[in-house]
Amino acid sequence: MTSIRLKLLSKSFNNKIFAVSDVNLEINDKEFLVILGPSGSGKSSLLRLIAGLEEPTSGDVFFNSKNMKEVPPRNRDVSMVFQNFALFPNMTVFDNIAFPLVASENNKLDVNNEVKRISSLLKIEDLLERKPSELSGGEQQRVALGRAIIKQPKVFLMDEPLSNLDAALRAELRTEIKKLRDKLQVTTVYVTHDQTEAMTMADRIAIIKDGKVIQVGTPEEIYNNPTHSWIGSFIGSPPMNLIKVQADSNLLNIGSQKIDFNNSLSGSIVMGLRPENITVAKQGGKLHGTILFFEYLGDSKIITVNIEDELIKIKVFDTADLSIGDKIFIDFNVGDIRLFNANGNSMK
Amino acid sequence: MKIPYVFLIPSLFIIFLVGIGPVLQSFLLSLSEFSLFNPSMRPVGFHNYIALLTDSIFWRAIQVTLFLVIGSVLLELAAGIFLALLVTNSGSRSKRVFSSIFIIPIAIAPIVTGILWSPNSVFDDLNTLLYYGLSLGVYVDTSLPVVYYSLIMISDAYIWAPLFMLVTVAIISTIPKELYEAADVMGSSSWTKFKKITFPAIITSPIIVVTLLLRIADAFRMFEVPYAWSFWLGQDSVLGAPVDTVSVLMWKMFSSTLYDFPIAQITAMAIVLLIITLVTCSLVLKRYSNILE
Amino acid sequence: MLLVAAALWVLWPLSIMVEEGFRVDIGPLFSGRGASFIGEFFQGQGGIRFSTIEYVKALRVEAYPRLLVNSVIIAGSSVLVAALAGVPAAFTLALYNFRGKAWITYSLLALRTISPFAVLLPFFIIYGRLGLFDTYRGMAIVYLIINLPVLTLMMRGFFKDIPKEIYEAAFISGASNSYVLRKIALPLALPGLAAAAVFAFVGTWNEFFYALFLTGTVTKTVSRGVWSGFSESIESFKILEFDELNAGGTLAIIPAIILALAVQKYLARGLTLGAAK
Repeated sequence: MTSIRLKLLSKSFNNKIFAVSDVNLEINDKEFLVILGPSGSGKSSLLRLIAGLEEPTSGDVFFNSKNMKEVPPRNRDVSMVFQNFALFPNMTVFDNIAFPLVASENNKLDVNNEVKRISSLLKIEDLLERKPSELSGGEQQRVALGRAIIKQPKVFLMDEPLSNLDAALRAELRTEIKKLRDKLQVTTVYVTHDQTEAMTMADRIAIIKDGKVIQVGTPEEIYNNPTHSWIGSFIGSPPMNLIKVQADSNLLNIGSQKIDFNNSLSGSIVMGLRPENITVAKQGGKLHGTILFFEYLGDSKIITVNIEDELIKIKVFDTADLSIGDKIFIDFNVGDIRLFNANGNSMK
Repeated sequence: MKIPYVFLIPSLFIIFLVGIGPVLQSFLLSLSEFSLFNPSMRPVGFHNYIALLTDSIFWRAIQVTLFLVIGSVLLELAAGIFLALLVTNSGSRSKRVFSSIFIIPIAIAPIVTGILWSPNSVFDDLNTLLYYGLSLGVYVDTSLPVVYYSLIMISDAYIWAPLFMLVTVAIISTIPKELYEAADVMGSSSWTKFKKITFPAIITSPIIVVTLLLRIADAFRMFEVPYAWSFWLGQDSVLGAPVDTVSVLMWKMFSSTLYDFPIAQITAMAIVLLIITLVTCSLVLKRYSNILE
Repeated sequence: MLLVAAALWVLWPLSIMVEEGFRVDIGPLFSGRGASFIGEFFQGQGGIRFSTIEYVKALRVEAYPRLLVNSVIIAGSSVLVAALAGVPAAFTLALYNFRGKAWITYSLLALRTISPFAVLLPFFIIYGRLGLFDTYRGMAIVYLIINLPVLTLMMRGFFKDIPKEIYEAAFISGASNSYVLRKIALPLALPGLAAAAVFAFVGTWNEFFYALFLTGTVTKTVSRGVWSGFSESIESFKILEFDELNAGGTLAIIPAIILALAVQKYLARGLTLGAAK
């Protein structure tokens, strides 16, 4: 039973630039929370603060309402998996996995059995006598996972564990991690910059940018109702279209074209619309424009259309009779529109 | 957090036992007039130090020492970098062979080097070659200051250039290859590449600073080679000979029977040397961080 | 090409020394040594007679084997103690920041700046009282002055070389500092330890002053042996008997060179003294 609470957590390395800035976050027991953000957003720093590897400049970390201020990492009962695996090069796989038990002089569990059990869980039983340098990336990461779960921690921390693996391996290990998580039911905090990982694995996602957590929600919530235009464009592939519009009391103006939309706004705002929510037709639709180019995705195509000098991407499955330069109409549900003000924040 | 201070205890103990303790004791001693014929510990204040400050022989020795330190260390640094460049630009097989050869001088006792580079030794060869072999009709006169100061510095550099070579090689290995590739694409010459990439990387490396500091500290205590030279020059019983470093001076005072084993004075000299060394090192350190910022 | 020249530069004086030890015959026209090689080349005369007399003399007169044993014991034990004290300290210095850390690092550096004369008398007096004069223990202790800084500062560098995450993974797994030092840091930094040890060993081996003042007949070291050969010649003849000296010199440096060559690869990494990280 472990829940984590971060209260006004800040971390700065030189008193000028803050890696993490006034973060408030609640992580529930057994929850798989993903901290998602671009490079340099402070996500690793945040994780390390939870782990106790860094000390906060201000703010607190609570585990089950207990302040972790003076508690060093080894006493926090957490496990961590690192991006570059951090396996001990001088030890065999067996010793690597066994390390947490041996190092903490845990007499309760039989080391041999535990290592065998966990290595078969991760399908690495044949590798026990090898050294890390003899393993592939995927195998190394499995060993790192094994080392992390063997001591049955209260909290799992993972710092971009799949970033150093190639795409195919990543997908495979994503599934492994999900299976593990279902089996072990342990509170997990997972850091990544890859939105696919976040969307497929998370119970909830915390979006972090420039050291601040700007939205926390389920993958659905984040995807469908981003609180900031930036989030809309960060999540989703291809990203959300962000179109500059002029708001009127019941109209949205894009150049010379109009969309009927009841709103109580005025001025320049941004309209967000996801490519998969738009359809294309030769006749009939809310907006019209010219096809600029196609991008082939395999199962679908992305058409980029120029509408009043705004480039809009649309996901379609059939482009049989469409070619570059065609004038076409696009259509969508008004309910799929998301509005953002000049600062990027969402509005009703 | 969980800092293992206890790990530091044995080292701290040793530092006090063989370092701070004895130095303090020496300092107290230098405030007296202790000598073998007059073993009294009666304090005479800073008398010894004042006497030193007005002693021209001592100042001469300080000058000589400073001169040799600067010359030797700079030469070592330059030679080391030069050797490093040679080694890193060669093929991998010859790299191992040559770097092994280049390392040898470090293992040689300074006194042995002193013998090696003595006038009678190497220079009979060289002179013979110059005079007879190549019929140049010239020879190197080892009694000229230019010559012997240079030779002393060369001897010291002979031993320690390999140290700088190793350090420089290590530093060069951390320079990203892309920098050189970019320079190649821009059509830079080897000299430009060295000036703009290699040299700055070496000079601004903290590693070089530490090495430099250690060598400077060591060089201040230079003894064997200058001492040997005081023999070649027939000045072994002359105090304050042109080749006397402070260490040599101290030795001469200690071992000659003209004076009466003025241990207190010698100790005072040693302490002054210590202070000068530390001050120099601090200066280098400060100057360096200014350059780095 | 330059490489070869540089290599010659290094080896030439050495070869003279070795060769002189063998007492190469001197051509009549040249009073210089080693000149016979060249003289031979140009004059086509002079012969080379190899004789190992000088080496044998050196061995017997200076009781070289005894000196060798002494140097090994003293250097070895001093380096051992320096390692025992320095390695844990290096670990703390490498991984943690704390008040006074700069002082400690500076003190270690300063230790190396101490010249023998600066501490001679206290050692003399204390050793006299404690009967540590001319003993292995006494010498080993004194040499800590030069060995502790080398071992500590170099090992600090090697410990810092190990990626931070490895330490973090170890600590998070519940290991204590001692456990991490023993099971992770040391095994990974072992080559560095070898390099530091050799460096300190060679430095102690070659050291002259402390050996001169604080050893007697029992613990006389190799460096003293070379030196006394040197000064004997000077005092008795006022010229230097090069042949003997060269033989002795050669014998003196062989062990040191062998060691240095053996670890030269590791020496390069270790000599960076960890300041880069």
